[in-house]
Amino acid sequence: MKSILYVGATLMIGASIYGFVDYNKTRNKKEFKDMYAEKEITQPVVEKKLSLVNTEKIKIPVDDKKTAEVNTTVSNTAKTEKPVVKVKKQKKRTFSTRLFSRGALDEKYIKEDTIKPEEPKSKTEPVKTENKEQ
Amino acid sequence: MQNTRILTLQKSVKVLFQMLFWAPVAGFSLLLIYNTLPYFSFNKDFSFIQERNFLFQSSFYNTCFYIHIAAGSLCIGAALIQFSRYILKKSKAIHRFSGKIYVFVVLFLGAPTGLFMSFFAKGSFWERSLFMFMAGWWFITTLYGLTTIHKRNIIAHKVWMMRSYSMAMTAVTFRVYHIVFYLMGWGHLENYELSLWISVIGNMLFAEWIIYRQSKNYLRSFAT
Repeated sequence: MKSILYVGATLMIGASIYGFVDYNKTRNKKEFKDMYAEKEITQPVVEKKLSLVNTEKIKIPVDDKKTAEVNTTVSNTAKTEKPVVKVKKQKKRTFSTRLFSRGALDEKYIKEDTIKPEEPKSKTEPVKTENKEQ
Repeated sequence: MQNTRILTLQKSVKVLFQMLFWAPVAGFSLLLIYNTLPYFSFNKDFSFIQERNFLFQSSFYNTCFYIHIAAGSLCIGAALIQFSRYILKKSKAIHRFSGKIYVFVVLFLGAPTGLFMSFFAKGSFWERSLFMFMAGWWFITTLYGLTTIHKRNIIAHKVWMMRSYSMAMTAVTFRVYHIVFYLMGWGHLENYELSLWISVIGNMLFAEWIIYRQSKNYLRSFAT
């Protein structure tokens, strides 16, 4: 019985002494100081610069069967690029048995529900061709 | 003499309350053990390890961590059957065997490694002190539980073992509070610290309340 007490007490005293010494060694280290610091996750915002400009020559038919060349400047954005819609990520906190942990409940355990942006309804309606001659 | 129907009702209510207490305790304890098992792949891809990456570079801390989690799971698993009156009546050998495992694991593995790791625990000076207190109190209560049963003092043995088990169960209750506060949208560090304090103080108070209730019943039994 006493031997259990002695062994246990020795282990506890040893652990406390070694822990204290080791802690004093490591507490001034930068890695230790930064270890539990909460880091803010910032996502860089990437802006697309659309600088492509097309200069086209569009031929416009004129009634008197002469073609007039008009220089028009049309940006590519109007034709190809869809309007930029910011995707808002909503992080929904849901229960999982994996959360039953002493560790940090960090973002990788959180299910991400991304709200998809509603695509703008295409305003291209079928062109009605009015044939006045008919 | 009371009506037998009333007595049966009282008994069934008592059993119901016991079930309401023990079912979540057993469930969460088993879940804790289940969630601890993947750590023994010795993979470092766990948030707990990644967060303490610097500490895990030390082989001594590494060893202490794996001993601590193995000891924790073992003693929580062993303690589950210790409070069963049915097992105690049917076979004292099982109670003694699992009790020996519990005591050995706490005194020689769980508490010393926990004490060492508490110096590097997350939180402020007070949280580290709380971890140290937990390790010390866990050790002392278990030791008293052992010495009292050697002196054949069963009531004192029960009392000290309840206190010891309440310390072991802080691992479980901490996780419960941690999840609840997390789902409430609390920040990580404040959630961690509050869960820790509530789990330790709450478990101690709960154990004392159970002891008080049982001792009241025990004293009342002399009066009748």
